[in-house]
Amino acid sequence: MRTISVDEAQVGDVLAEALDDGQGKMLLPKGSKLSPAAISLLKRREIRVLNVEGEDPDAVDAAKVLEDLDFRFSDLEEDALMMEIKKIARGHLAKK
Amino acid sequence: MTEENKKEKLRRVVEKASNLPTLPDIVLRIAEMVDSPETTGRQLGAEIARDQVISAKVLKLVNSGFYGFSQPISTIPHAVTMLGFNAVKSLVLSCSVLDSMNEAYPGLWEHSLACARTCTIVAEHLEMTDPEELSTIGLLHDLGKVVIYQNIEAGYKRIRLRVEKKEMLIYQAEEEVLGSNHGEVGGWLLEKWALPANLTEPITDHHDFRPRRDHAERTALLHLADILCRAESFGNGGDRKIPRLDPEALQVLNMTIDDVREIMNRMNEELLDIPRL
Repeated sequence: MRTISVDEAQVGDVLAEALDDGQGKMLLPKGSKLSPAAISLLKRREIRVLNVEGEDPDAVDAAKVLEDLDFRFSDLEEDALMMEIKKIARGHLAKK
Repeated sequence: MTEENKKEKLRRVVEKASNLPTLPDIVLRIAEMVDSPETTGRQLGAEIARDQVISAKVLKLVNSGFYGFSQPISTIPHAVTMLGFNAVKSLVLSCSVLDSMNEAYPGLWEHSLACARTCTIVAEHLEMTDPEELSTIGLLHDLGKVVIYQNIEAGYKRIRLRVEKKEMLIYQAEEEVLGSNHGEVGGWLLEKWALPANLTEPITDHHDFRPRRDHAERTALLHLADILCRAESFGNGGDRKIPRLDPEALQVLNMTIDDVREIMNRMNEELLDIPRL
């Protein structure tokens, strides 16, 4: 499951949890596949975030990128200058 | 065979490769014209423009973003004016090699492009003259990797195997297998094409920084730019590990880690179109 903003919602995303309008009235049940109309409905009802099925592809990549960074610098741990450079690169890569 | 003999033999192979027939007559004529002090930019441009394929390739390179000109450069004479003779000559001579970059190592083109643009960023940071020529050095710094791929098949395979199995740096695997590294190999080719030492020396020495050589400042700049592109993983040089930055390179450039941070921040803001591989 991943949490996305309504602006990131794509047609075909599957709801991992039921969505209500905040006052107990169900808008869409769990397992609904989002259609263009459903996404418009959520926006009209000012739903800001929703939980959908599946892993966040970017989040997986980010973890992999940082692991890869550790590996690439693994022979340079004794080198203070290279460790500083790694720290700066890490800051940039972690934000991606 | 001793290391020296091995190296001499390799150099002969590389120099032979730089000869015809891979270089069409037009390229040789252009090379001669560039070397003549009487050649004007207009004459040179006219000669290059006679060959549509080469003109198109050079203009594509010039406009691929690494020089950062705000207006597109649409004619060869314009390119000669903006970049200078030697930069245009290097591009003309190496355009067939550049075509094969990603065949030699996937991601090498993107790495080279990132390195070219990083050279410009460092040059601007240091307010150095000739940022365009430095950018060309960045673009061509791994030329030797392609030369080895195209001409020394068995050696190339052994190098790749070592890099993959032992997680070595390419230049170290090359030194084990060939007795020389791609910097030197690329440098030989550029020397054979009679390019000046301020262009060839940084490429030759980019994995072997020597602070007392003639063009140590340019070499230090390239050495730094290459390592920063790898640290930020722009493109892919063909190996996963990162070479050690020689602290003397920073001294030669009169830079501290704070300067490096500023440069890396700029890379991060400006190289958005280059994939991290």
